Amino acid sequence: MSGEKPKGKISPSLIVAVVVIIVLLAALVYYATLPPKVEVVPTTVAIPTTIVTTAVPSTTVITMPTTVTTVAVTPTTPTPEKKEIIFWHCETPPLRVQRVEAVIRSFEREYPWIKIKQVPIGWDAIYSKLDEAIKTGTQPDVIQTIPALALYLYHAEQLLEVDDLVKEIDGKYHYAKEQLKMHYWDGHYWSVPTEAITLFLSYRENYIKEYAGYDRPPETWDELLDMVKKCTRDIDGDGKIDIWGINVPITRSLATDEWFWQQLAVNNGEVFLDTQVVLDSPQAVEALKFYLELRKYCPPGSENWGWAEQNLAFASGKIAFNFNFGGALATIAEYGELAKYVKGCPVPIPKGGRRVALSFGYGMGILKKAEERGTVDAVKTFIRYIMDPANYGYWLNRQPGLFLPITEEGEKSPSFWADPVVMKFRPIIELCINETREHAGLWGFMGKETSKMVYLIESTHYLAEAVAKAATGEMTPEQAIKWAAEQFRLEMLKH
Amino acid sequence: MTKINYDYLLIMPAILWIAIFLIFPFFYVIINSFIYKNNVTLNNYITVFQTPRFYSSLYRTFLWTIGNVIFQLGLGLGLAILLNQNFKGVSAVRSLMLIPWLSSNVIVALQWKWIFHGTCGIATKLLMDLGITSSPISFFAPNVALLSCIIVNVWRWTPFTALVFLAGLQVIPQHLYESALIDGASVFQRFLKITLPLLKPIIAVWALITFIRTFNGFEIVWILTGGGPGEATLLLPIHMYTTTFLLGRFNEGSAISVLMTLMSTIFMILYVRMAQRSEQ
Amino acid sequence: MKIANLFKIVIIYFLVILTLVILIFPYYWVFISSFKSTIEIATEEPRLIPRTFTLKHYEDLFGLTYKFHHYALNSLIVSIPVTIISIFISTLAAYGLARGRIKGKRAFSNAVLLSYLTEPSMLVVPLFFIILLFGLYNNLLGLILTYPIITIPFCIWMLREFFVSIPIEIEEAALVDGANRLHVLTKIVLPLAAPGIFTAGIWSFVTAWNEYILALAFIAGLENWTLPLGLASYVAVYDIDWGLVSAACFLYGLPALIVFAPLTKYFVKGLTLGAVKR
Repeated sequence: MSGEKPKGKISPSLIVAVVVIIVLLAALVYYATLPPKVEVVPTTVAIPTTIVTTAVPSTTVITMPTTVTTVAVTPTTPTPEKKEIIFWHCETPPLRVQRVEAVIRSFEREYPWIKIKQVPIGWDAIYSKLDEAIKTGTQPDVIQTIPALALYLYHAEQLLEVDDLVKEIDGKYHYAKEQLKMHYWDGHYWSVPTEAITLFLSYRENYIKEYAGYDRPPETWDELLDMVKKCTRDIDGDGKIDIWGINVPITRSLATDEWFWQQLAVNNGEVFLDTQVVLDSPQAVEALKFYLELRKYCPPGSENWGWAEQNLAFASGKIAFNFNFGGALATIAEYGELAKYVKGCPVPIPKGGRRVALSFGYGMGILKKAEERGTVDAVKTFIRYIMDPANYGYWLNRQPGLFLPITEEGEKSPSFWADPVVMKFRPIIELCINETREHAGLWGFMGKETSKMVYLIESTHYLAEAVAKAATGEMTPEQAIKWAAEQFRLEMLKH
Repeated sequence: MTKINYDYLLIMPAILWIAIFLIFPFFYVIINSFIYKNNVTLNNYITVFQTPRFYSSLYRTFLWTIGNVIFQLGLGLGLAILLNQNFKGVSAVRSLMLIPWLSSNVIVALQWKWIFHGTCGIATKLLMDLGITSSPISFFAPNVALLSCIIVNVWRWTPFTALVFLAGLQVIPQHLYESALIDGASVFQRFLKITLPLLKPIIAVWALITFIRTFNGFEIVWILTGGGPGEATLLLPIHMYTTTFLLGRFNEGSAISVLMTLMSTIFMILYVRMAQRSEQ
Repeated sequence: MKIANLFKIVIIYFLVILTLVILIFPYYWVFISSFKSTIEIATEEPRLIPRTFTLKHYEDLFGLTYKFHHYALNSLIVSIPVTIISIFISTLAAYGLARGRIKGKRAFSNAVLLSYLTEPSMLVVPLFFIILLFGLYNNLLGLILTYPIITIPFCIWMLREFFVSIPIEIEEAALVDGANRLHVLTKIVLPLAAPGIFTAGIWSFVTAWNEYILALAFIAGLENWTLPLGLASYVAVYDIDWGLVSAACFLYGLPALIVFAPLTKYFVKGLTLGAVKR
C-alpha cells in the first residue's frame, strides 16, 4: 500500500491538527517564560535594628537601602571575604522553597558578603544524592537534617560537631530539653536543633459529640476505639455508611512507619534501644493488634492511602479522627465550613502506657566540606539568623502549623503567630508546642544511648511491611512483629 | 571499477544505535549480575533465589499475565467480530478504538485510580446504585486488588487487540462464508470451522506479544497500587524496580533483570519459531 | 427472516453502544471532574453531571506548585529530538532492508523484530548502567539517547513494509536513468512513502511523550521531570486534589489525541498490512 491520497492533496484534519499544535506550543512557551512570582517580604518581619536605622521600608525585595553595605553587623574583619554557601534541604513543596528563598534574600541583605544557594532535594532521593556527592566531593556546606539523616552523615564522617553554637543558642533562647537529645550522641551535638514537627490527633468535635456522645477528646485507647466505632455510620439514612472513624495507613511508606511507631511508643515498646533490636516484645504485638482494630473502621480504598489521601478524607469530613502533623492544617483550612469543628488532642495512651508524641527534631548539620571551603562561620551566621526570634517565625512558617518552635524565646516570635493558618488553629498549635516541649520522642532516642542504626527504619520500611503483612492476613501480628525484628537484625549485621 | 556497496551505510546508524544502547547494556548488566563486592560470584543470584518475595511475585506475575491474556484475547476477538459488521459509523467506531492505546499508561492508571476511589469514586457509587452492593467497597482490598489491575489493563489493550484481529478477519475471503452458508452451516459452525482456523496464526502471535508485554508490565500496576496493599499486587517487575532503585541494591537488581529477560527471551524464541512457521 | 435481521441489528447496535460507553466513560469522567470544584469532588456524592463549574484546577496546573508547563516543556525537549532521530535512523535502515543488497538482511530483520518485543521495564536496569557510564543521570539528554531504542524497531518494521510495497519499477527506472541510490531514495521513494514516514514520526512522538519507567529511573530532581513523572507526582506525597489530577490527565492526553487524529485511518490500515504479513 502506497500513499492512499494522491500526491499534493493535504487533508483538512491535518491542517487543523497542525494549527492546534502551534497554538498549544505558543501557550506553553508563554507560560514557561512567565517570570516567577517574587515573594514579597512582609513588613511584619522585624528587620534587625542595625539596618532599620537607615531603613527604606522593606516591602519590596529588590530595593536595598544603600547604607546597608556600610553597616557592619557581626563581621570580625572590616571588609569580610565573600562566601558562598550551598544549602541542601528536603522540603520540596514550592511554597516552602519560596519561603526559604525569601528568608535567604533578607539574610543576604543583612549580610551581603554571604550568598546562599538552596538546593531542595526530595526525601526519597536524598540518601542516594548524598552518596553521590560524597563520592564526587561535591557535598554541600550545610544541610537541614532530621536525626536519621544526621546519623547517616555522622557514620559517613561528614559532620562537624556543633557544641559551641548549640550552647550559645541555648544560652540566648533556651531550648526544650526533650528536643536537644535528638541531636546528641557520642558526647557531642552533631546538628544544631532548629525546629520540630510533632504528631497529634485531630478530631471532629461535632462527630464525637453527636455520634459517640462524648464532650471531650479520647484519652485512652479504649475511648478512642469506642469513638471510632461509633463514628463509622450512615448519617443520611440511605443505608450506606457515609463516614468512618479514622484512617491508619498500611502502605509500605514512612507514613505507616510513623503511625505505627507512635502506637508502639505509647505502649512502652520500641524498635531499637541502645544497640539492640527490641521490637519483638508483647508490647509491640499489642500495639499492632490495636492498630488492626482501628483498621476495621477505615474507609474503603484506604489500603492504598498515604498522607495526602488521608488528610483529604479528614478535611472533607469523611473520617472523624486523623493522626497528623501540622502540615494537614493547610488542607483542613481549605474546607471552610468543615474546618470549624476540627480540634486537636494529644495521642491517646493505653492503660499503663506513657505520654509520647512522635517528634522529628529538625536541625542544621555543618559538613566538613564547609571547613574545607572556609564557610563555617558564614553558615553559623545563617543559623543564628534563623534562630533569632525576630526571624524565627517567618522561617518556621514555610509550612504554617507544621514546623514548631523549640526555644522558649522562639515560642514568642510574633511573625510565627501572625500567620493566618496559625491564627486560625491557635489552640491546636499551642497543644503541639506543648507536646513538643514536654513529651517529644523519636525512634532511636528513647533509651540511654542513641541507637545509631535507627535510620534503617526509614530506609527499609520493615516496620511498615510488618503492619501490611498483618493487615492483609499474610501473617499473624505475632509473626509479623517477629519477622520485622529478624529483618532489622539481619540488616544490622550487614553494616 | 569496483562499486562500493553503499547500502550498508543505510543500516549502519541503526546498527550502531542498537549496539550501543541495547546490546552493550545487556552485556553490561549480565556481567554486573555476577559481581558482588568486586568479586565474580553467583552471590547475587543466590540472594535473589533465597528471597521469598521473588517466588511470590513470580507467581503473581503469572496470574496477572494469564488473566490478562485470556481476557484480552477473548474480549478482543468478540469486539473484532462486532467491528467487522457493516453498520453506520463503523469506521468512526474503529478509529475510536485507538484512544485507550494512544493514552499513556500514566493517564489510564490515574483515570482508573480516580474511578475506583473508595470514598469519592464513581465506580463504587454505580455499584451501590445498581444494587449490587450495599456499602462502599474497596477495589484495592488485598483480595481484589490484582483483579482491579487486570480490569484496567484489559480495558487499555482490548480495543487495540480487536483492531489487530479485525485486520485478520477482513482478509478472510467472503466466499468461504457464503459456501458454508449454502452448505447449511450455523453461525457457530462457521465461526469454529472457518474463522478460528484462519485467524489462528494471528491469535497465536498476538497472544505471545501480549504475554511478553504483560509479563513485563510495570507502569499501570505501579501507579494504581505501588505493589500494595502488602504484597497483593507485587509483580516481578515491581520487585525488580524496588530492589534496584529504592533499596539501591544494583547488583541484585541486575540479577533479577537478567532473569526476567531470560524468561522473556524464551518466550521470544517461541514467537520467532511461530512467526517463521506461519510464513511458510 | 426480517425479524431475525432486525434482532441482529438491534444486538449489534446495543453492543456497539455498550462498548463505546465503556471505552469513553473514563475520559468523560476525568473531563468533567476537571471542572468540578474541589469541595464538590471531596464532600459530595459523585455526580455524572457536575453541579459546580470552575477553571481553578487548570489555573493551578500552571502555577508554581504543579508546574505543568515546565514538565510539558521537558517532555517536548525529549520527544521532538527522539522523533527526529527515530525517523532518520528508521527510514535509512528500513530502506536498506527493503531494497539494499545486504548480506544478513534476514538476520537483521529478525533482530529488529525481537527488539520490538522489548518492554521498557526490561531495559530500565541495563540502560541505567549506560546512563551512569555516560554521566547522564538526571539529564534529559539521557532520555533522548535511550528512547529511540523503543521506537526504532517498530518504525523500521512499519517503514520497511511501506518501502516494499512501492513498485520497484519506479526505482529501477530512475537507476537506469543514471541516478544513484541516494537520489532515488530522497527524490522518489521518500515522497511516495511520506504518509508512512509521517505516521512513524507521530508514533515515535507519542511513544516518547508517554514513556514513564525509564524517565522515573533516570531523572532525579523535580527540575528535569517529564510530564508523566509530574503527573504521577500529583497523586503522591503531601496534598491531593482529584480535580487537578483530572485536569492534568486531560491536558496531557490531548496532544497525543490531536496529533494522532488524522492518522487513525492510516494506522488501522497499517495494522492490516502488518498483521497479515505475519
